[in-house]
Amino acid sequence: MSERLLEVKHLRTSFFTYSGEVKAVNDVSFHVDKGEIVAIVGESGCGKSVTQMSIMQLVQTPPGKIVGGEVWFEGHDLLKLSQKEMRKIRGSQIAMIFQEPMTSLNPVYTIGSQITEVIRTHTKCTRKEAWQKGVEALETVGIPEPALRMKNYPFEMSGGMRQRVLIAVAVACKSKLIIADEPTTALDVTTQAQVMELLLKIVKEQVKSLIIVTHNLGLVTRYADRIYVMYAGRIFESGTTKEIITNPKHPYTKGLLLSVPKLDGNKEDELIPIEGAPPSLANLSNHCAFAPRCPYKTGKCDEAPIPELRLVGADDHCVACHLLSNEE
Amino acid sequence: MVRFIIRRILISFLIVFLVSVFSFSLMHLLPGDPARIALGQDASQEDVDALRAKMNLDKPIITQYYLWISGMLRGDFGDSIVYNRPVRDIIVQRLPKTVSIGVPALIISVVLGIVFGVVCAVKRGKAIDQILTFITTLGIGTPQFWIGILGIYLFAIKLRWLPIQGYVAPSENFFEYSKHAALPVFALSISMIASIARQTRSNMLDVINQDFIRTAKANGVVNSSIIFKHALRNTLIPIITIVAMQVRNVIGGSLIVENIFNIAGIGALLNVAVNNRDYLIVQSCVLIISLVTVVCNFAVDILYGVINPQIRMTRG
Amino acid sequence: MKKKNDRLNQAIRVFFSRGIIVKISFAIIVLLILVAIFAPVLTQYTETEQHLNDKLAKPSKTYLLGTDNLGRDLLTRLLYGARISLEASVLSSLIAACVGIMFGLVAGYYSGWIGSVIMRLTDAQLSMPPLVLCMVLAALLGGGVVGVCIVIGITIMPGYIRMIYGQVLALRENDFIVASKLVGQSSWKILLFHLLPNCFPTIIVMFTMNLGTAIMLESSLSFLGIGIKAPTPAWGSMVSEGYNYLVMRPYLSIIPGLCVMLVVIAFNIVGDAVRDAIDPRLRGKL
Repeated sequence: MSERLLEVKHLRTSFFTYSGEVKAVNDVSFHVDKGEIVAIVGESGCGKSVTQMSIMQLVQTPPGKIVGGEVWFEGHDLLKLSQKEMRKIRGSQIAMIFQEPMTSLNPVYTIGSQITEVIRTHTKCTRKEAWQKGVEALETVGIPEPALRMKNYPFEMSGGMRQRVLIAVAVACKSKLIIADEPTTALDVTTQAQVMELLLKIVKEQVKSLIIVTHNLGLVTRYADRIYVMYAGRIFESGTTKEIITNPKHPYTKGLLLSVPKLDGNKEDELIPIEGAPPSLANLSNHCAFAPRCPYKTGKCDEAPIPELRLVGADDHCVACHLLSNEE
Repeated sequence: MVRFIIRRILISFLIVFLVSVFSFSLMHLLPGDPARIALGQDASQEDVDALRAKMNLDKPIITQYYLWISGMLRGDFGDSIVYNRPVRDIIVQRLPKTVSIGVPALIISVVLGIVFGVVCAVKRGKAIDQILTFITTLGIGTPQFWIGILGIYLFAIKLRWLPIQGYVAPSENFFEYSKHAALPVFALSISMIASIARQTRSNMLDVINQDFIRTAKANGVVNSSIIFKHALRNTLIPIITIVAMQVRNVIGGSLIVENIFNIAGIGALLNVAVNNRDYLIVQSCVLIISLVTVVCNFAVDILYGVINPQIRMTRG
Repeated sequence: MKKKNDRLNQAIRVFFSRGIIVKISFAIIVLLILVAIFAPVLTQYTETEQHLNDKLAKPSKTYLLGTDNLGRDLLTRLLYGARISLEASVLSSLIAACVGIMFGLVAGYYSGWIGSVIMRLTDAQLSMPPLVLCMVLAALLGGGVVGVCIVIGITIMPGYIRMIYGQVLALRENDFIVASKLVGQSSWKILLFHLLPNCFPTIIVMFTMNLGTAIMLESSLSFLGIGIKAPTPAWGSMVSEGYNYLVMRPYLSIIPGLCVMLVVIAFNIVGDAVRDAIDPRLRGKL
């Protein structure tokens, strides 16, 4: 039984706006073990990014607020830590990389100064030592001529290279967990594969854990150990990658898989999109959020309360759907 | 980079040239004969004609312009009709007074403006932000002539802390200079502080919402470093342009402030010269003022290149 | 049609939702307009009427705000001064907008040689402080409200020139211009009927903001004794005249100056609110 690194329990985060309370994260629970790669998959706006920001306590606090839940990491509930204590964890224990590498680095400072700043924030070392560590980090992420690159400015690098730099910053402080929020969405396909391979390599070589957040189910099937499927602020299905891909239970997951083109599929096979659009998170009903779009919906789905996650299959395969819990 | 500098220098020359043509034409478009106006209605025609010849007014316009410009380049600005002295001497005598009020005003405005702007941006939405933002809204609409007079009434007449008018050079007596300069500097600064503070706040808020700030936060960088290192440098880059613009406003403001406080500086000189059709003074002053502004803008552009590596390396 | 109404309604709602300050400012402007229109009705005196026996009288029932050094009722002069301020601001801003837009269009359309010249001239103009430019031009054009308005209009117009020029340049890159030309539409028609309507929101915002600037310039000019000549009551010149009597009758200077300040601030606040209502993305740029 692997050691649990991160455990999120019943996390709730809402944004309080003029239109009312937007429940971006509405009772989400998941966990990550040491050395695991976990994928959180869902459409834009389903709350997967806000979940990660909540873990890091980076949610914009005037409109947003973490209203409930616990986030256990190395024996501490992160949500109970102060900003000062949280700051020590960010970048050194848990590192996060984001979607837009083009704008994620400060344009007026060199790569080197930005990396060394993070290193020196978290570890006591001289400027020279930090510089050296930075060079090593750049090397680990496969940037050629790292010593020269340290003196470059961000605008002198391509998008893929910048994303590598951002990963290098995450690696430099030997963090235990990397959270990658749509790390490849802004990159072209070839670079996407390179970055994913790089992340995989880092995880395996340095025994880190990785959470990948994406809307691209196809991307993670190759890399992830386990998958969580999110929709409208909740988790609909969870399980090992193998189980989810070969044996999807939730109608939404099934729909997602059907809409992804398969390399070995027939050319004539249609891509079947999921009808309708995701619900507004400001006006969530008390029933299953997917019901309006679900092709298998019954009358019960419109009346019963929000379905809970229940074990339905091998290897901890859980689903939140009324129709399936009946099958037991 | 060198090409960039050369191009900017050329454009600057062009602008100053255009301004010189403008101010020259303006003065020569004024109705009335400058010589006649200088000598008065009763002067004889011969005297007027003699003065005209001396002032080169009988030559073709282009020649007059050429004579004036070449004179300016040699340092000979001509003679003032009203004061009967070389224009250059008058300007040189008066310039320090304007500078000794204007420069402190500029420095104070920039420092206070940036400080207020940063405070407002960092404490966005909180009480201090609301209060300061409201005050800056008031400040931008405050007429310099009014705040000057109000200041005199409160501090000079009612409270008797400061003198009402007048000027003492800093080299003579620094304490007296400060007392006399306090109100003029204050009057000049109010709207500038407000303007700079507004702009700084707006820029800083934009910068704080940028992705690279999010990255720095996610990497656990200390908050003070985020504000003063990451955010500030990016904020200050456009602020430099604002500061250059304020140089222009300082000069414009000194027209009013010197009038109220009876300071014999360039502003007051221009006022008198325009009213008296002392066209050589007006031409020279306008040209010099424009030159100062252009030089400031040029310096700002160079500074941009220094601070923002992207411009330095890719432009030119 | 309904869509346009919805946008207008939404804009109005956003405008007024900005809080009590905006409402007060809007009220000040409405007050200004009413006072300007109804000045003769609101006071029994005319603005130039001199009561030499009552020079520098203190506020009383006969003269609600006292009289100035020539025995003229201060309140009356303030009310008629409102006319001058309003006239000056609206007329100057209109002149600035019309002439500026025209120059901007020409500069952008003939973007080669002529465009460069116009833009360099604009740069040259911007190298001079506005007040200096106004003063020098006013000496040329003489006094009177119209003269002053032309002068102030010319001083303010660079904003429009640059904005329209930029828009035209950006438009030239647009494919649909090429498409329109292929279909045979003349470029001028495109400019007038496509580009200009697109710019209206920005133009409106700029115009509202210029109203305040114009009043500030006008009052500064009249303070310096340029432009609007006595005995026409302009708030700026009232401040200047009252300055001589600051010790015993401070309000002669302070009240007209306060009026200028309130009106300029009101226009600025309303201008901000208009900008936010029409297009919040302009925040920071205008």
